[in-house]
Amino acid sequence: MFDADFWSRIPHQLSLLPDRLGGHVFLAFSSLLAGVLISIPLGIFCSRRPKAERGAVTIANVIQTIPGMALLAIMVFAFQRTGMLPAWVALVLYSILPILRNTIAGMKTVDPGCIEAADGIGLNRWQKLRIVELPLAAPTILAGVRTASAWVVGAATLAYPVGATSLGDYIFAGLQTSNSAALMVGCVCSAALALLLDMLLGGLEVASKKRSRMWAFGSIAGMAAIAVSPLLLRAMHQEKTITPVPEMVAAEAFQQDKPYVIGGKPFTEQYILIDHLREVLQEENRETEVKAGLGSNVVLQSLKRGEIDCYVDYSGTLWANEMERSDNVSSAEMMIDIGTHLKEQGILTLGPLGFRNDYVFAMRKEQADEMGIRSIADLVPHANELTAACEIEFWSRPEWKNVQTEYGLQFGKTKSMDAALMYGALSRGEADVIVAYRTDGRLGSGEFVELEDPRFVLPPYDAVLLVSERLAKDRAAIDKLRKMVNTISTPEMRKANGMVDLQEKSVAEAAATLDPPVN
Amino acid sequence: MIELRDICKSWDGGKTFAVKNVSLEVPAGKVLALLGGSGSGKSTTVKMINRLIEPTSGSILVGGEDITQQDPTLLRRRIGYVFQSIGLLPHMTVADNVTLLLKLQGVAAEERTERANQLLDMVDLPSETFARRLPSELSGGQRQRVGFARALAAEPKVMLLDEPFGALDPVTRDTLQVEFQRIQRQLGLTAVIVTHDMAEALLLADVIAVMNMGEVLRIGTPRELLQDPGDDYVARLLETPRRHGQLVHELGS
Repeated sequence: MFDADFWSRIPHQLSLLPDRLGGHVFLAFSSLLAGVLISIPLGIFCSRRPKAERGAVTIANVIQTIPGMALLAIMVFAFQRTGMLPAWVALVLYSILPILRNTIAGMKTVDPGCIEAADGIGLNRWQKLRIVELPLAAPTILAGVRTASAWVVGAATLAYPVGATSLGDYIFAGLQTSNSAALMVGCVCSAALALLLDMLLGGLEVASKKRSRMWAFGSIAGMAAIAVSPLLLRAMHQEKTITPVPEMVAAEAFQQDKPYVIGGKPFTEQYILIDHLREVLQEENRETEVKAGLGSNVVLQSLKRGEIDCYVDYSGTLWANEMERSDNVSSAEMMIDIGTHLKEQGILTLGPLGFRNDYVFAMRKEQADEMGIRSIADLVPHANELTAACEIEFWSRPEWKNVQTEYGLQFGKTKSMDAALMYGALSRGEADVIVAYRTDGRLGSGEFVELEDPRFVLPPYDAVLLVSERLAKDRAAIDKLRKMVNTISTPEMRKANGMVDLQEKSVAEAAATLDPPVN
Repeated sequence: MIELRDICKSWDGGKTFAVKNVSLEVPAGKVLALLGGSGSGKSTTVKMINRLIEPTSGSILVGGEDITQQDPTLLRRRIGYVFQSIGLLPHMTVADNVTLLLKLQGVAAEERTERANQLLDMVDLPSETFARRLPSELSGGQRQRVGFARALAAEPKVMLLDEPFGALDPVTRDTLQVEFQRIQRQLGLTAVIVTHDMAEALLLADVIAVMNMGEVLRIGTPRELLQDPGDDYVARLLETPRRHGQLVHELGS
C-alpha cells in the first residue's frame, strides 16, 4: 500500500485539505457550540424538575440511538435540501445528550451545603447559579462537552453523502475509488483533529477543577488556533497558485458569478465522469466545484434546486424513480420522455453519453459454454440447479419481477451480497449467475460472459448528461458539453472503471482515457 | 426583636405538622436556644425566620416588621446565618467567601479586603495567615470561624444559628461557644440558636425553648428550667448535664 504511487498521490490530496478541514472544523465547532448553548440551559432547567428531566433525557436518548448516517438522511428529508444545513442540524442534535446529561448530573452533585450557604447569605437565583452552582458543576459539564466533541468530530465525516464538505470527503471518496492515499489523509486528519480538540477540552476541564485562568486561556487559545487553521492553510496554499495565466485572462470574456458545481453518485464510474466533466468545463475556462458521492435520490433533487449544476444519471433510474413509470419502452422513446419531463422541472437533458450501465446477467464463461447458455432464455431450464447472487435491492426491483414473469425464470437459490464481492463469489463458484452492472470493470476480465436479454425485459440505463437552469444559459459551456454526447462507448467506460477498481490507478488517470470532445 | 406568632408548618397539606402553634419572643440583644431531639421541628422553626422555609400559617416579625411581606433575598442579607455544614465555596479564598455578599453589593475591593481582615481577626483567624487560603486548607473549627465571619459581614442585628457547633470536636466546640458569646455581647446581637445539647443551651442562652414533636413544651431561663423542669421530657434532658456536673464535682473533691 505504501508504494511510490501512494506517496506520489499525497501532495494532491493535501492540496484539498484547506477546504475539507475548513468544512469539518466549521461543522464540528459550530454544532458543538450550538449544542452547548442548547443543552446547558436545558440541563439547568431540568435539574430541578424531574418530569422535564425525564422528558428531555428520553428525547435526547432516542436521538442518540438513531445511527449517525440515518439521522443525516432524515435531516435531508426534513429540510428538503442537501449541504451544510441538514448536516449541521444533525450534528447539533447529536451533541445534545452527553452535554445535557452531564449538566443535569453536575447540577445535582453541587454540595447542598454550598446551596444552603448561598441562600442563607441572600444570593438571588441568578447569583446562586453564576457564583455557586455553575462553577461547581463545571468539571462535570465540561466532561460532557468533551464526549460530545469526540462524537461530533467523528460524525462530521458522515456529512459527505448529504453534500457537506468535511474530512469525510477523503474517507468516502477514498473508499469508493480505492484511493488509499485519500483514505489515509482523511483518517489521519480527522483523528488528529479529534485528539487535539479532546486535549484542549481536557485542558479546560483541568482549568475548571484547578480554577486556573492560565489553563483556561491556554485551552481557549488552542481551540481558536484550530478554528482558524484552515484559513491559514488556505492562505499558504494560495500563495503558490496565484500566477496569472493566459487562460485566466481569456476567461474574463465570460462573467461567471460563481463556480459550477458538478455532482455525482457514490461509485467509481461517477467519480470518473465528474473528473471528465470538470476537464471539459475547464477547457472552456469555467470554474468548477465538486459535490461527489450524493445519494441517488438526493442528486437529482440537488440539481432541481440549483445546488449542483450538472451530473450524469441513467435513463432507467430516472424512468422508475423520478417519473415513476414501469412500462417497458425502447431506449430512444425513454430518452425523449425523460427530456420532456425534466424540462418542466427546469432541467436540460443534453443527451446520452453513449454507454449504458444497465443490469446484466453474467456467468463464468466456462460453465456457460458447457451448458450452452447465451441468453436469459437459455438459463430457464437449468435455473433450478443454479445459485444467483446480486445486491439485495435488485431482488425487490420491478426489473427482477418482470424477468421472472416474462421468462419464467426461477433460480434454485438466490443470495444477496455487496456488488464488490459478487465477482469473487462468481469466480470461486459460490454463485453461478450474478446480476452485474454492465460497465463494471470486473466484467471485462474475460473470465465471465454476459447473457443476452432477447425479450428486452431489462430496461435500458443509458448514461444521460443533465444540467441546471443556470448552466443551461451559458451557451459556450453548453455547446462544449453537448459535444460529449455519444463519445463514450460501453467498453471504454468499463475499461476506465477497471483502471480504478482493479489496477488501483487514480480517478484522474482513468478520466484521462475518456476521449475529450472534439471542437 | 424577633417574634413568632402561632407558627405552623405542614409539608403534606395539613395532615401532619412539623411545627405546630409555636409562639416565641426574643428581646433585642438576647439569645434564645431552641432545644430538642432530631425531628422536633427546631431547625424548621429557625429556617422560617429567614424564609428558607415558608410557614404554613402564623406570622413572624423581625424588628417589628412582618417578614412574610418582605423580599426573602433582602431579608436574608439582614440576618446572619450559620449552620452545621458551613457551605464555604471551595473555589474561593477565605477572604472572598467572607465578603462575597459585599462584592455583589458593589463594595470596592480595598474596602472589602479591609473588612475581611477585620472580620477574620474578630473570629480569631489572623488575616495575614488565613485570608488567601482556600477552605480545603482549613480545619473544621477554622472553617466554622470563617462561617461566623461570613455571617457577620453584612453587619446584621440578628443571627440565626442552626447547630453551628454540631460537627466540631468538644474542645473546639467549647472555644467557639465562648467566642460566639463574646462576639454576640460585643455587637449586641439578637440570636436564635438551634441545638440538641442542653449544656450548650444552658451556657449560651438567655431563654431556652424546649421542643418535641413540633411543639414547644417549655420556655424559660436556664435557671427556671433547672429549678422546675415542669415536664418529664425536659427533666430528662436536664439530667445529663446535671449528672456530668455532679460527676466532675465529686471527682474533683
